[in-house]
Amino acid sequence: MYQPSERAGIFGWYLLGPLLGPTIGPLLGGIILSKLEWPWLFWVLLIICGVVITGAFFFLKETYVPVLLAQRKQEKENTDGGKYYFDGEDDRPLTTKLAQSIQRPLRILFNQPIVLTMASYQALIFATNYSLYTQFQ
Amino acid sequence: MFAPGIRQIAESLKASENEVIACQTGFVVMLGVGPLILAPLSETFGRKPLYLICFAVFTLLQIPTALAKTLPVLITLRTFAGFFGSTYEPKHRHFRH
Repeated sequence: MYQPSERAGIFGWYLLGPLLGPTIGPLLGGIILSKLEWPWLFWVLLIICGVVITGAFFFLKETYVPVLLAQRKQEKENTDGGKYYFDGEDDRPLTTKLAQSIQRPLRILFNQPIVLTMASYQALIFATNYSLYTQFQ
Repeated sequence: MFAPGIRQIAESLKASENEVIACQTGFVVMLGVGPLILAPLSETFGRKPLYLICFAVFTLLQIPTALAKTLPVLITLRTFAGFFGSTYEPKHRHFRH
């Protein structure tokens, strides 16, 4: 999506979200609760999500290459009726593709000790993190 | 945003605070399980449709959550919200640590 030289800056902006989220979330929650009842937590969330999803609908672009190529192929076939192929095309039936791609992460998780170790470590950090968010109120 | 509301939710639904924390547990557990199922789907259907559909479901789930009158309903809805909300989550954990 971006040139290597642009990446550092982009990551910086991108990281603002996940880093500020857990900080602003409880703060915003506290402000809402000081004025309104708890259902408003979810009403405010609904409004924010509504704005974000509208933006995503119009401005988010597909980035996954095989899907982009498949769309391009479909477009060309529709305009001139010819038959097109692209490198790495996956013409297996949908169910086979889905079965394989859903199994893959599980297989990697349990067959690769390093993945299992790192995943467990991340799970521990994640659990600790969320326990803190929940307990400090 | 949910955490500061635990006490108020517990009072209004006549449940203990520990029971209300189960909403958070359901949500967070599904944040972990969700990508395992949803991320591979993006390899077949593409990133954008998956993002949009899951985020739309997450957004719409906030309506019944705000209207929930009992704790089991709230826990169920928050658990589903965690599952569909997990699409924007995996990268977050990647870069964070």
